[in-house]
Amino acid sequence: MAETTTDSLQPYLEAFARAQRPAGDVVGSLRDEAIAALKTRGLPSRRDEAWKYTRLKLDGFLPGGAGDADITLDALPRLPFPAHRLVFVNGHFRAQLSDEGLGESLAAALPRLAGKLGEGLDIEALPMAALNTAFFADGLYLKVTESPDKPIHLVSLGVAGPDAPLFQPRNLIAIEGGKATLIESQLGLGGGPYAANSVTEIAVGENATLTHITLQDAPRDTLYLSTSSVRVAAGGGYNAYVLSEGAALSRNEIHLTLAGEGASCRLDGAYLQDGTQHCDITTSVTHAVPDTTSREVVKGALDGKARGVFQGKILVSPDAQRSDGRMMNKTLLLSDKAEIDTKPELEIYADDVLCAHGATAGELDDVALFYLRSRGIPENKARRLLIESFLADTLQGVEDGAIRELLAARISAWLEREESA
Amino acid sequence: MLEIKNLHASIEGKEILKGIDLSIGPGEVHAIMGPNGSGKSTLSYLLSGRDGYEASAGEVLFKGKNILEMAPEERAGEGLFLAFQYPVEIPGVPNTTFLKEAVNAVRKYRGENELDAMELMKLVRAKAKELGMESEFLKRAVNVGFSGGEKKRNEILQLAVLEPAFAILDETDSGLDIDALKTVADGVNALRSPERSMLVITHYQRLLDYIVPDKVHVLANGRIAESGGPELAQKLEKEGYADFVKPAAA
Repeated sequence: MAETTTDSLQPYLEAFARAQRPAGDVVGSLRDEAIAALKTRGLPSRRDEAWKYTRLKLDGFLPGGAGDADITLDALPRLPFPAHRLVFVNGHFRAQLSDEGLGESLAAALPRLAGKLGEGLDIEALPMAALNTAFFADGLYLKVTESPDKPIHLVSLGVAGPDAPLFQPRNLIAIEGGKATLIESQLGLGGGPYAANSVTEIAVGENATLTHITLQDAPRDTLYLSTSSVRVAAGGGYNAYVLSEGAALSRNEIHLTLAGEGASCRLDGAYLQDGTQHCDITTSVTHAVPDTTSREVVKGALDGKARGVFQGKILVSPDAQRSDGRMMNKTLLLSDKAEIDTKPELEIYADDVLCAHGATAGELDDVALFYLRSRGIPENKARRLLIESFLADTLQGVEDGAIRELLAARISAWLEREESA
Repeated sequence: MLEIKNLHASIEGKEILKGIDLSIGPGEVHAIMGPNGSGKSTLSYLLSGRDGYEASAGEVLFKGKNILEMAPEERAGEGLFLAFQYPVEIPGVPNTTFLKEAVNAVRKYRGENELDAMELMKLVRAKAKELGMESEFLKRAVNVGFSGGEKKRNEILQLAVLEPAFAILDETDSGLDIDALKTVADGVNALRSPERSMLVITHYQRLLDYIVPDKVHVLANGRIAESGGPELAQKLEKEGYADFVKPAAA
């Protein structure tokens, strides 16, 4: 079964050779570099330390996935509060379904973005980011200079055609000033397996803030891969929450640099998985300068034969004194067949820092369960209350009450479905 | 109200209860005293239905029904309540939510209408006030960050709100200073009524100065070794359990 790097890469090299470069593709050399990087290091395999716990089988998923599927407004998810909606189908912007005035098609903006794409994205180390760079066609370009009056709702729909497409959205987000909230709904319309491999580059400017919520609920027969590269300038803040419910296999990877004094981030989230689902949360936070803060609370509930992976790293650069970093991963195993691999890491090169990490995995506390039942609460309801209470503190960093409620409601709905399953 | 007949139980192969007989009538308060390891906690878990605690022989009739085969929530529905020795912390669940879930689950079991949030708050506030508890206490997560005394008062609040026909107080005095003990005992005494029976389980006589029982039983080596009135507790306070824990074979 020994598969060489070139074997698995070959179909992508052929597709790359065949690909029609769009006219005025200002990223041609970037794509060539990405392909060269892939040739050198190959697609993710078990030999990669970063992919040790997540076996990615991309074979069969080839670049494609047109964005012209017939979508009606009724098919779009709605948030329980006003939002500025931007719709993407297989990574392609759909202006007719989107609100105007904020955010646009990356493809359309590309000629203006020469040199801005791929900055700070280590394609040598991130093979899926390299693959995206070689093939991406469209995505979101969002520039914010002052606080928008409502959250931006990015609806990303995947549609499988007769083939099993691999589509690769590319998003570029620059929050130059103000406070913005971006809520991503990652969904599919069914119709067969597909793979989504997105890359999002985010720059948060001085004293600006981006709250970035991801509701990943892709169909259970799809692959969902997301790589974000985030840079936060002095006084800026990046607050993320990733709720992973969907996909057969998902990996949400964030590489973040706190690049200016007073910069801060939160990388929180929850994974709710069952059946044979596999969910990977991989993050790395670099405290590059003094006086920066990072917080990360990621928890999950795994049922059936579901498997979770958490790889979290905090890196403190030599001169990044008074860095304050905390990271926590906790998993509730709801069945004896569920599994979690958790790997929190601290790499500290400065001497005056406050850093901590922790990880636990366990079953529901049977004393707590008995306590609730002894008060008359039926077992299924008691279990749900305990799981909800276990996950509740992932939400504490979410400032906006309406968003916190939205996340809590989705967690409750998942638990209700689990109960009746 | 509650009748325990020839109750035997083993935990992990070791016989803990070796034939308990006990009858508690309506409105009566009985105390079970005993040294550590005598089977007091096993008895309270067996009565309330904790997983892993099963009777190997005997029966427990509550209002005429054998409850040993019932799930804990069914026993609660029937009107049984256990005040825990170590109340459990449940982060993320506000006290009021917990009380609402519990009250409505029990009401549903009894075929009564569920209370809405307003009705429930009114009920809980009134009960909390009677127990001298601040309303801030109700908003906090169940038992999280509560002092020992607050946790025990929270048990009594649940007791007051759920209004069970039978309450078991398992070492309610443990971890309490004298002021907290008095407060908790006042709360319990206020809930004594001709329709409500109680079983007070304690190691020390001290609690029984404040919650005066109708009968006292000494549990030793898995059996009721002696029964009497409140004066039995006084005697134990002076003489200790030494007479009861001598090895039977000696």
